[in-house]
Amino acid sequence: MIASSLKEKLIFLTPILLITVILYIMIATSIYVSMSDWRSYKISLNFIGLRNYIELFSNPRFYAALRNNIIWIALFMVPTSFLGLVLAYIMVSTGKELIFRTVFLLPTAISMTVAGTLWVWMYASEGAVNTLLKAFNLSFLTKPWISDPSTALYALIFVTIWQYLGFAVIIFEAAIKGIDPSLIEAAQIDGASSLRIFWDIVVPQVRHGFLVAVPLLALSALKIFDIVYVATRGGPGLATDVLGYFMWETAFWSRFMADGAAIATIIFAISLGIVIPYALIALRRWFR
Amino acid sequence: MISFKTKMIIAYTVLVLLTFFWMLPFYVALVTSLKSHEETYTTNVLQPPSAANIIPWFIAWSRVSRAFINSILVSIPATFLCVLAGTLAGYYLSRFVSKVNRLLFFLIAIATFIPYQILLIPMTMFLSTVGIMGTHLSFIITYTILLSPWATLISAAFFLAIPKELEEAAQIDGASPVQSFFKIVLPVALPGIISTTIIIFMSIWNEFLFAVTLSTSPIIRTIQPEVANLRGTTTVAWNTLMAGSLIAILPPLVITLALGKYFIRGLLAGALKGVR
Repeated sequence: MIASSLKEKLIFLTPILLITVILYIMIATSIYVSMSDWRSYKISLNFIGLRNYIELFSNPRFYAALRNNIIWIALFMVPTSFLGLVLAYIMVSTGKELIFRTVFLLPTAISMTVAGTLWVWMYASEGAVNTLLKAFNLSFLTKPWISDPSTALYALIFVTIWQYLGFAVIIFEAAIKGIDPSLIEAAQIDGASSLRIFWDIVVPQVRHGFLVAVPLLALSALKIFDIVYVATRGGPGLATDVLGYFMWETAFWSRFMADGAAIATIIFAISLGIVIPYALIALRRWFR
Repeated sequence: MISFKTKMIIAYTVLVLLTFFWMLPFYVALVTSLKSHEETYTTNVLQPPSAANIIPWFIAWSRVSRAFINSILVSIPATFLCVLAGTLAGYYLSRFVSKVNRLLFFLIAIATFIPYQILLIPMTMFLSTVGIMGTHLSFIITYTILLSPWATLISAAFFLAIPKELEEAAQIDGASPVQSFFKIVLPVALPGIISTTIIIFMSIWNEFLFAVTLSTSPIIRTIQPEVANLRGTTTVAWNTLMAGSLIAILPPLVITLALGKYFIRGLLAGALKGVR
């Protein structure tokens, strides 16, 4: 065993201990601010209990944002992880992974701010999406995608799928490569079809890929902010409003810090439901 | 049963079609950025420009250059500090398995993945109390605090893949853990450290929530809020906006194309999937 004295422990761990302590103090501070009366540029930290939460829960905008977040999580997480798995499987079977992997990774590598900007232009009334629809004689489907309240949310959700697909592909590609090839060979000898092999062998064998991808994708959709800020500012109306944007606008636009902190605390509380099990599973994998 | 050849044809068709669609926004942005203002309105968006016009790139660069440089001045020191704190702690966590370390790992993992919104208000309180709001230092401190935990987890994943016997041999020869870390482990761990550096640098470069909040004046604004600002300004034409957007994503694109392998390994380690 490698010896470790107290002095050495300190060299290795002091920076991260300091940072971790700061982070947890900050979390506690946010929760405290959410129970204060801070509603202006000037800091004011008088304790007022849960009043901000009660007000928040009677604000219809809160429910609109929460609903959009829930839709976002569902319509983002499921297709991205499933499509990621299918594509990874197809890519591995062609053996030309390198080029296709790069294609799907480029959107993953760029900022969501720019992704949003590029897609605002794609979705413009004379933009690429409508131009393509017209070219395929589907003119009746053209619309101003992100200024139409009935499509705005789904248009933005699609952009996040576009961005994160590469991430899902990477996770599942690694998972598929971990499958014992003899399992698939045996099934092929038994005459199983590719579809059967996919459903009965690949999907169950990559379940740890889902355990990694699904929580992280859910978290990304829960904290979503950048694209809403750059593309729609929550509009039209509240069609694309989400908790992350509602929080920022409340705290840093209206300067209702305490109310913003209350929304942040709710986002945090929901996230713990995902993060704690995720960290526990990772911990077990880590120190087995 | 479908033949192998048919299957491959289907596979390639799916992949090639998706490739075209997935690359389309980049293509459209590039084509638009090379058109004149008039041409962006008179021609089809998918059509290449009649002649490449680089004026939008000059206009865009004059608008975003300061922000681009701010981002570099912030990202590089912050990445360095995160990777330094992260590799020291990651090494320790990967080598000494104890109850306390498991707890520490758990607390760091939580801190890594929680949404940043919960940290935003206290961070601005802290930065304005210290009186450094609106400086490069405020960004460097913020990103070091935000991303050191992740750097720890990523590098720990890579250190776990390096056999302990290496340092044990060094210590029999009389090296202390700190010495063996710098002399023996770091050189072997270099690929992992490159991956960690890439992931942390790109996260800082691409970060928006803190960037837009800490950019209290145009002088200090970093690149992502600058793009958002360009997009919000009605006087900016599409060709300029697209050129500005492409400038803003140049560093991550170049890194992904040149060092894709390290980026992928970093992504896997960063998702706590492990690198074995």
